[in-house]
This record gives sequence, C-alpha cells and structure tokens, in this order.
Amino acid sequence: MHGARLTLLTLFLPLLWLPHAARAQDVVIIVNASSHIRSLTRNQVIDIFMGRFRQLPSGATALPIDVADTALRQTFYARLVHKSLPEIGSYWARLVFSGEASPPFQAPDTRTALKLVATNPDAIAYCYRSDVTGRGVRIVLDLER
Amino acid sequence: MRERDELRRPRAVRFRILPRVISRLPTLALLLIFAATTAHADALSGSRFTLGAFGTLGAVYQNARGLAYRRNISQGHGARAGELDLGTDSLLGLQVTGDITSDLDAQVQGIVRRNSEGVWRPELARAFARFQPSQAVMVRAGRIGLGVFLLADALDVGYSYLTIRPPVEVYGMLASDEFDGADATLSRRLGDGVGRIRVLGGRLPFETALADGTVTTTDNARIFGITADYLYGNWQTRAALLDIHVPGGSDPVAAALAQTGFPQAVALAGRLNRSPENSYGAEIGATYDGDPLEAALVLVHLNSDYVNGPKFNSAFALLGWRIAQLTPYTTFAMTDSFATTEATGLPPLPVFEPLIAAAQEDETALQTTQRDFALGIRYDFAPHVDIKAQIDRVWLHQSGLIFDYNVPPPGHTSLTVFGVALDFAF
Repeated sequence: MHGARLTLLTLFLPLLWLPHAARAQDVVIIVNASSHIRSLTRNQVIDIFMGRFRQLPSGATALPIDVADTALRQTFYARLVHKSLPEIGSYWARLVFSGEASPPFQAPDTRTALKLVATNPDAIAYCYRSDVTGRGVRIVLDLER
Repeated sequence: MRERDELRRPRAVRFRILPRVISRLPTLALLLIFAATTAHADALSGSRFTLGAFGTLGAVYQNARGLAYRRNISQGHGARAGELDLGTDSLLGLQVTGDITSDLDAQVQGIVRRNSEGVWRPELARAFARFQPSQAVMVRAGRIGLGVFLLADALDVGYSYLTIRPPVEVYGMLASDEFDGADATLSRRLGDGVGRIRVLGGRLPFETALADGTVTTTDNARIFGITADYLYGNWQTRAALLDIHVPGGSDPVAAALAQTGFPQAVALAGRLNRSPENSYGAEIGATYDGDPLEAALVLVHLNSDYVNGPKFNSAFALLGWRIAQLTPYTTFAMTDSFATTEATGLPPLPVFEPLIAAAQEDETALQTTQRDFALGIRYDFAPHVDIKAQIDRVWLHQSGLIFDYNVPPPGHTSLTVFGVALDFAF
C-alpha cells in the first residue's frame, strides 16, 4: 500500500512542476534596471521591434535588440505579431530596401542581449523568463499574458 | 556674404538653381557614403556599412498572339505569345548603407534590369542621405523611392511582397519608382497606434515606351505628394495625394493639326499642346498583414487637366492564406479609363486619314481599361529565398500597358499569363 502511494506521487510529481516550467519558457520583454519604465503595452513593443516608432515612454530612442537564436526569435515574433521568420524577413526587406527603417541590432545569443540591456539605459530585448537571473534588467511585458 | 549674393540674384535665376541642386543630391549621397568610412562605430550599431542584395529570376509566358505583356509603362519590351520571357520580372539589386553619425546615414542602391530600350543595364535606383534626429522626424534628400501608393515602398524587391509582381493595373501605370528631391516624415503615437505624415517633392524623371519602339523621356516633370498613414497592430491604412507637373513640351501631332486650319482641329491642337500639364492622383488603402491571413485593398484615382494625360480609376484586392511555408493567394486588379476622345473635325478625306488616326492614337496612348484575376502560390523554402508561381487571366478593352501589334486592334480581348519567379533578399 505504501509502495503504491509512492508510485502515484512519483507519477504526479512532474505535474506539480509544469506551471513553473511553462512560466520559465514565457517570452518576456526586458529593459535596463535603472530605466524608469515599469511596463510597456504589446503595441508599444510591436512599434519598437517592427521599426514603426522606436520611442520609449521616457522620450528616449529605444535600441531594440534581436537575438540570433532561431527558436527564441521564432517564438517571440509568433507571439508578438503572429508572424513566422520568413514573413519577418519579407517585412524587413521592404523597409530596408526602401530606406524607411533599419532592423534591430542582432545579438548572437541571449547572454549577449542581456549584457547589452544591462549596460545600455535605452536598450530593449526579449528572452525566456528563466534567463532573467541578474540584477541589471527588468521585465516590462510578459507576452504570454 | 554668400547669402546676400544669393538674395541679389533675380528670382528666375534662383529658380533655375533649384533643379541643379536637386540633380546633384544623389551625388551628395554617394559622397556621404564615402564619408562614413571615416566614422567610428559604437557598441550597438555594429558595422558602419551594411551591404544588401535582392533579386528576382522570373519567367513569363502568355498565349495571345499580337500582344506583348508588360510590367509597367516604361518597359520597352514585353512577353510575346509563345515565348518564354525572362526580362519582364527579372532584376538584380545591390545596396550599401553607411552610418555617418547616430542621426545621419546614406544609402545607395543600383539595379540591373532590362531597360526601356530592351537592354540589360545597371542604373542608380536610390542614392540619398537620411537624417533622423528623433523618432518623430525623418528627412531624406537625394534619389528616393516614390512609395506613395500602399505596398509600393519597394516595388523592385519581389521578396518583400506576396505576388510575383505588384498588380500592373495599379502599379504598372507608374512610369517611375523614384524621384530626385526630398521628403520629410513626421510620426507620433496616436492612441494605441502610430500616425505618420509624409511630404515629398522634387523632380520626377521618367520614360514611357510605346508599341512602335519609341521611348518618350521626360526630365523636367516635378512631383509633390503627401501621404497619411495609421499603423495599428497588423493593420496599416493610408490616404495619399499626388501632383505631377510637366512644364510644356510640344506635340508633333498637335502641330500638324494646327496647320490644317480647321477650327475644331486647331482647338484640339491647343489642348494637346497645353502647357503646363498637370496630373493629380488620390489613393486610399488598407492592409492586414497577419498570420495566417494577409489582405489588402487599394483604390486609386488619377486625372489630368490635358487631353491625352492619364485618366483612370484603379483598384486591387489581395487575399493570402499562409499554411506553414506555403502561401496561396488571389488578387483582383482593374483600371478603368474615363477619358473621352475629341474628334479632330477634319473631313474624312484620304489626305487627312493618317492625321486623324495619329490624333486618335495620341489621345488614347495612355488610356487603359483592363482587368486581371490572378491565382498564385508562394513557397518560402529557405531563409531569405522564395519561389512563386502565378496565373493571371487578363481582359482588356484598350491598354497603354499591354502592347497590341494586331492590325486592326481587336478591341475587347483577353490573355492568360503564366509566371514563375525565384526571389531573394539578403
């Protein structure tokens, strides 16, 4: 009887971790911790990353940072604007070759993106919630909510 | 001192200087690109130079004998029946952008394509300096993309849009995609979206190719335009106004009509030679660019205050539905000419017949009444590369777009156009 309870507990234990695991994979928008920005709306983030209007609520020009990690990038744009990476490429081809806007700076990985945000007051980037461990950045939007 | 000298110059001289300044703006942009070589990069800007390339390898086949299908009115050659034509949609573009300061950069773009004379030649498509002191203001000067109509920001970059070519009934009527001058764009947050106003002005050099092989080059046209956009989520809406001013020019047919001495012919000659010539256009449109749905609706009205100028109502609608890497789409495009031809008043004598025919051709050369229903599919099979296949069914009554070599012209006719294209942009 005792053994059966233990087996059941072992089976259901991972389920207790699921919400936490899902939250860890949430894509969040981060800014510099010293910034006065407490939150951003989804449309403000769309305007910044899609090159429409890169102004932070403080009035400063935002410096958006893309991450080269394909899986993260794919998830970010799917959740932000419901677009796949080829569609994003097509979108930027129109703006870049017409000289209307430039795409975000591309960091090679999440660690570099976090470092750039932590050292630049107007930088803004995205990452998984589980990657936000240091003190230099602040979460201003969770794309899952 | 120089300013005082400038003020002493007669007004007419100052007006002659302005076109010279405008014509040198692309050169200025090239110099700024070289200036960027001496600038220093900061941590977030990366390299001072960005190189880009785009292109399309496209093949077109159509089935109507005596007709030649064109992408726009500046193309001197079209796709003839039974021939696989590689020149209608194919091109190669290279671009370099150089950052000079954090607010100032310059862009130069060259394109190789089949020109109005049917020869493959490189041309300078863009060369401008861009000054953006804040997100609210952007000013550009040099050779700039016209981009007045919605989705027409980068007409040459096939990878940037869904179809093989922008619907010719709307975008093919534009003889030029660039102008030499300046534009200013003001943006601000409006509600939860972004409002944007763009004002542009300058010289609009363009070429119009005719079926008989002649190419009309206009160097002295001036353009002024204003667009207002509202961008919200996946939506973009636009209203635009455009004015094109062609100062003078003589029409050989008008000269011949005037010499006949017939009052009606002389009056028509006066209207054909009207100087200056103004054309003006208006556009409203909306696009939804989401996933899986992509949709667009654009309405254009173009009118002229001279007899043989462009007079159209045009429209197009697009629907695309993305399924993984495939996007099937359909478009409907139309242009209806509302121009009326004026009779010469010449008696129907054999001696006048060539002149009567020439006058009628002169009046209707740019008029187009044409419809197009297209089905196509885009396949994004690799990053930055796509392949497309498209079938267009085109009905036309008269067309300044499609060359008609039939004698006599058949009037109402139709054709089916098959196209495949490989696009890339890096």
